[in-house]
Amino acid sequence: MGISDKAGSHWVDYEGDMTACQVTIRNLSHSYGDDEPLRVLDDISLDVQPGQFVSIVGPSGCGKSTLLRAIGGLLTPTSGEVMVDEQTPRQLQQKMGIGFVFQDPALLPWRSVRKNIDLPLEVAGGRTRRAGRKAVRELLDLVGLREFSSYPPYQLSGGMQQRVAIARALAFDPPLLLMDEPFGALDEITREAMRQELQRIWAAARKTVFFVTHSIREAALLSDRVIVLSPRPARVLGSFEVTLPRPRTEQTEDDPEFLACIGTLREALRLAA
Amino acid sequence: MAIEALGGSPAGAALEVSPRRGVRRRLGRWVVAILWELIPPLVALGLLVGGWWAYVEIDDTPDYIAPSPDQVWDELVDRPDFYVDHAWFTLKNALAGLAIGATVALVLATAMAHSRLIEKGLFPVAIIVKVTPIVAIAPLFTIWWGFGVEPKIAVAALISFFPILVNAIVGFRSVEPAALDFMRSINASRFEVFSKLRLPSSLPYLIAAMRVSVPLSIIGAVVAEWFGAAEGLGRLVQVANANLDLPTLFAAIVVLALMGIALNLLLSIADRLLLGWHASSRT
Repeated sequence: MGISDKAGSHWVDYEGDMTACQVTIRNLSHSYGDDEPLRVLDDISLDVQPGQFVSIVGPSGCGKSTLLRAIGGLLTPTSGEVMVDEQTPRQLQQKMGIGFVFQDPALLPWRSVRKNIDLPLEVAGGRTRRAGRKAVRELLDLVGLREFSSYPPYQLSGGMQQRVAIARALAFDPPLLLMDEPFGALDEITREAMRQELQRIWAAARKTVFFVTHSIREAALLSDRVIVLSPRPARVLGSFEVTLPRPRTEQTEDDPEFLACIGTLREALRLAA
Repeated sequence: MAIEALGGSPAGAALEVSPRRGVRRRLGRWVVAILWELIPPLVALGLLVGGWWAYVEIDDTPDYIAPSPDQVWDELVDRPDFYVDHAWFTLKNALAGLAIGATVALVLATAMAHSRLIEKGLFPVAIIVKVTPIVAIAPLFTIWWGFGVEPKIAVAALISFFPILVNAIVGFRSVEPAALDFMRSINASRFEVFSKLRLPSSLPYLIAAMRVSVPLSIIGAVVAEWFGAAEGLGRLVQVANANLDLPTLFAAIVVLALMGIALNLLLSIADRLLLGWHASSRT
């Protein structure tokens, strides 16, 4: 494994659907448990524009994942609402409109890379076999894994597995992409590469992205906007626009403006804790 | 910028094998897999038989205590049809019972894995089936159904049922939470979650269950024959025992052992074919 220039050539020809959705969160609160409810989300309101890349940062265990699950329709909040282009998350989910990437790639180990990416298409069953297959090829190219199409997941590195998970989440070209610490389990070198890769994918297909992370640097590098949450129960402490030019590379990280961004975010988080 | 090398990597080249060479290679892999399954048990068996033979020769043990392996061998080759017929009767009942026991167990496990209420209701019943000694129930089946195949199939089904039930419930529930979340995020139905996620993830558990239940089903079929049967290896053992006909008794035991080995071999092959992805086959 090494750095290859050739890899880039697969990437440019992907023409993703440019549709993205607007996300409106109104007074969202959530508690776990009935007897002694544990309040996790406290009156969160947000407006996210179509195609925005939004990172959510906050102290460990503050409810970032819970917020993401509520946006993705995996969890029904205790009160408040999430609307995605005038639909509920569940409705969007039923149209295969949400792509989810978890910290654990959660690939099905008995399926090859191709068949894992094919899984959402299989479940939807709507597309014809041929169209589906072409889409899978496109997705494999998008994440640069064409040669590994017939490999079982366990023969892939952690970073490659996570790329398969991203390709799988994009199988339906969903307007909303939700990522829950997707690079959390990766080593720093792979993580660095994955950030660049994600930027490239996002540039090719401008989805609305919610990206939960522990890393301030990661949030500042990838996002248009960073939401800082308080410790549990999570409230929105601040919302920061990151206006650095794209694409953001390793050089960006030396940019004084970038460092100022990080300083601001760090300060906000310090106040949170 | 990318991390892993892509085009022209040796891994990529491995994909471009001509189909015929692929088939031959797969065949070769099969032969190796089968030999790998066969040789170790044959060596162990050889040592066992050799030890037995040596003991009988040195001790000069009389036939009615323990025959020598060559006597048993003569007995087997003298009338192979006789043993094959009896073995077939027992095997047929054991497998029919296993099929019924496994089917009922899988259906119940599916229901129980999906509903705690059903599990609460049915699990105690399954426990009762499990803890009641099978030798106590077998005569009852003979009273109900006579000397035919039914009591044998019923006992085999009853005895093979519980391991499959317990393993299937655990197997169906032991899915990765993130995988379950993903299935939900793509709006998979309960049936799709079951067929595409729960069932395949439970395969290691189900194969483990079969390794327990297959020999149990043979025990069940043999024991049931003791409570009234006209044929079968269990019946043969019983009659030979009564007559102190030790060569026949041993021959029947050898046939039973061979039957168990053959079935276990089939399970090992199924294991290799179905569970290549599972950690158990890579360590």
